[in-house]
Amino acid sequence: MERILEVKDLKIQFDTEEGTVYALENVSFHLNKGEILGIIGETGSGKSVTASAINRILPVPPARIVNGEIIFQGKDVLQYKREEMNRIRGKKISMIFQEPMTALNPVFKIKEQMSDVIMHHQKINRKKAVKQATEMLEQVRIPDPEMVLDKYPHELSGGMRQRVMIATALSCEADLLIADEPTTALDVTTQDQILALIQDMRKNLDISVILITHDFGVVAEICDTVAVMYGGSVVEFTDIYTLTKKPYHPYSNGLLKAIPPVDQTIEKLNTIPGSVPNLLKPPPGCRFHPRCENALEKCKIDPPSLTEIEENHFIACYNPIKGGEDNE
Amino acid sequence: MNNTILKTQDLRKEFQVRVGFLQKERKITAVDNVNLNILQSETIGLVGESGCGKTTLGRILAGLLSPTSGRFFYKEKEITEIGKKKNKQIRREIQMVFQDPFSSLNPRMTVSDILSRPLKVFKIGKNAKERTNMVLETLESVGMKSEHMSRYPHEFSGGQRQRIAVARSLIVNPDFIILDEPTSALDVSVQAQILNLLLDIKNNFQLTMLLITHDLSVARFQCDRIAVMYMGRIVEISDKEALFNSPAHPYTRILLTSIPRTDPAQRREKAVSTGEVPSLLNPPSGCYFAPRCPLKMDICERSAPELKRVNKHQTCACFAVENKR
Amino acid sequence: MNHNNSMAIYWRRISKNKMAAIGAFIVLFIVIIALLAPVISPYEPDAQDLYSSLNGPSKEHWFGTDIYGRDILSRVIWGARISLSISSLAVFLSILIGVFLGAIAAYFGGVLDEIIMRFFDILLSFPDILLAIAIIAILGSGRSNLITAITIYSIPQFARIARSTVVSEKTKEYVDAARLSGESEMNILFRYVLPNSLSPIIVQGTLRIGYAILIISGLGFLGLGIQPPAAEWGTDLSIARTYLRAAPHTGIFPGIAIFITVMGFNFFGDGLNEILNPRMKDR
Repeated sequence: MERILEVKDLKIQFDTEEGTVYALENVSFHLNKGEILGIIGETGSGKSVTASAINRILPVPPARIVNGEIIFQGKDVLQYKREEMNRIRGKKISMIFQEPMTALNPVFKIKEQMSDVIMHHQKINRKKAVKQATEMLEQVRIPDPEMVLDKYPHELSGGMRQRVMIATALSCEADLLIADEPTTALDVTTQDQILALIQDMRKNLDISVILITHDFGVVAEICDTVAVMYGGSVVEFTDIYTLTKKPYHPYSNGLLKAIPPVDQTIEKLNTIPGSVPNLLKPPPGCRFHPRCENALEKCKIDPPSLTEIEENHFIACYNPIKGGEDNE
Repeated sequence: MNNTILKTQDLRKEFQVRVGFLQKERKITAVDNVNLNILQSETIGLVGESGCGKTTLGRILAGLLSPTSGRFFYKEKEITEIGKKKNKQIRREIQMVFQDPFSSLNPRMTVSDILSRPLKVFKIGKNAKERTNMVLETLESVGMKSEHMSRYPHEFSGGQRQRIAVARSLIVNPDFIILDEPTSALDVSVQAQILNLLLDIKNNFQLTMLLITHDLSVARFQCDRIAVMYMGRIVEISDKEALFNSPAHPYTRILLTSIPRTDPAQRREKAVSTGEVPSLLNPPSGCYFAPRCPLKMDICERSAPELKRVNKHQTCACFAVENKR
Repeated sequence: MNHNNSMAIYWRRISKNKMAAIGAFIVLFIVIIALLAPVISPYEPDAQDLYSSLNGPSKEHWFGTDIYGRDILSRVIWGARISLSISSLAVFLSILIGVFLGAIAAYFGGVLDEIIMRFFDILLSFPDILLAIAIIAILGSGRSNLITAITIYSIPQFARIARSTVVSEKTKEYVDAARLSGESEMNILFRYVLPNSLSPIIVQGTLRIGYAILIISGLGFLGLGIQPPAAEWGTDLSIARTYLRAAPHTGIFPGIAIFITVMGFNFFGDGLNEILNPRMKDR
């Protein structure tokens, strides 16, 4: 299978007035063409920083890329000059965000904003661009595209705005779509529609997707592979079926079991004691060790690196759950 | 055991909103004639999507908002204004935990101040020493330590702050606690800690709880009964197992199937829901859910169904469900 | 993060922000001079020596002497005392009254809000200096009337700021939580909401002290402020005007004093604003 993206050993720090934030360390994963990769993590896991790094929209400084490569379509994104990156951004890599309102300009109609983007990338006239915008809105299943085009962002519902964003992102025929918590601000019924839409687009347009989320359900619903992040590191990376059935890393396992199930009533939830680390002063060694039941002496000193324990199953752990606990 | 602790009768809350510059004020009905009985020592869930009026209803019951019309009774006494002096006892008995632990604690008070103020105001505890002991005890009951007492809210993580907020509501020894999305601002691993804590507290203190949430799985874990709201109206009230095993209202069904499962083997091919929630400014006539409803009949566009008993465990407001019986 | 740590962050922000640091230094310097005036001033500010009238700067008189032979350095030092004490007292009073009224208007809203704020709108429609002149014209000149005049025109400024911060602060959930804890509305306003609304008021207070000093000097220059022989920068400047050609130093030094002091308070106030509300700049 063709690899569209490969992130290798990415390490990023931020210099802030409170000190150095050790934001990313040991971040590696890859994405095959036409697949959906989920990056799941809690607050401070570094999932959004990772996304911004791929698209090179991290402000440098305060961010500092200490180490690593981001190979997109065979070339290291980090080596591109600013102008080269500007051409790739939007054209080859598109991004959508949690709150589409912040990405849309409140004083212009949807028509103007969408056609501006299309014209910028395709060098066609306004009339053709508007026509194409209409087609894109139809593709994202907006029932009355002409009406929506004639509205201002604030006149649309959250779900509608997210559809417009997706349509805009797709109009540039990008190869990679990065969706940063695209459904977090939406209600479940709307989320359901947007997730189905992303999946359809992937099939119809042969686009690859990185979906960043804190919600395991979202990942399980549409992703092919998943990278679990904790405290700035990827701790487990494999396909979604393996991860939910046989997680090896104690954090992935704990996280899965901490979610209250919809389909059965249980007495007590599994918890992970403590809270996420402060990345100004991350714990030495494995960043999860203070909360880990399986922690060894070694875990406190030396951070484990991501290694392939079974075929296409990567973990960063010295003492994984025995044989992968079966969650059936 | 099955005594009603709180009862609402046609409770209604309207807000005036100005839609645009120079436009006339318009009325939206956030809570639309709600009739709800809450039983002693039960946890009842109030679920629905954003803007369905669940938080407004909770704030009315907590005495933070007054209803436009309708009545509500607490322990068989009609409540007009909880804030009034003569109702001080009731004010103490009904407490609330808010959604955002970053804005629900006064940033300029220490944990010990936050917890001892209500004791002072309600004149609980004979002297400062007794109050300090009560603060300590309550902090321990939510899993915090004595050394946390002199610290300020910003020194704690979200989960710890929510523990402090829970402690504040518990310290005055209430009978009824309203929890407004208590875990939606928290990470999953921390949410699990707080949910377990709330369950323990409910059992240890014999409390009645109203849990407001958009997350049905949280409601399933925590509640005994669940009321589903849609655009200000309650469309279904059912015992938990009945609601999840055989949801009565078509909206409940869609809500349930829309939740992504954590097991990829349960993936569905197509999205189940269609359409969007209509605006409260232009609600459809009749049943508000009719425009999105797969079971829609002619009558649904003309008049609004009322909550009717479906079986021993469920009540539902739907003409189609009524017809089937 | 603990409390000491956040103080350390504030301190780091001050020292990083050059304007704020310069402002803080100037303000501190002037406050010390004003406090130590009786100790450090080489002469009595109103000691006349008509034989050495209008002398230029010299070893005996660093800033020279004025028409009455008074030591200008001493007058500038004592002038700091008068300007600072009047302006800070007036600003303090106007914060007390303005914040109280603005907070009440914001918190309780409705008709009360309308009445209070409309009245202040009327006051605000007059230019500050004109309003001050009018008040002094009615009350007569003198130190306490000067304080009254500055206080009156400053009150609406603080009322407005207090109102806007309280309006946003009162919607926070801790206010509802306090209600559930049985607190009375007055208690909530003064124990919970106001302490959390102080930072813009402190910033404005600092800026206003600088501005008040300017007004005091302006009124002094017009002969409506502090009356001679008391040492006041504006009054001295006005006297110096007549001899500005022959003895420019008589005007330059009080002028520089006004300039530096007002600039110091402005830098410090702007700096404080960035320190207390850092988001305005960072994002």
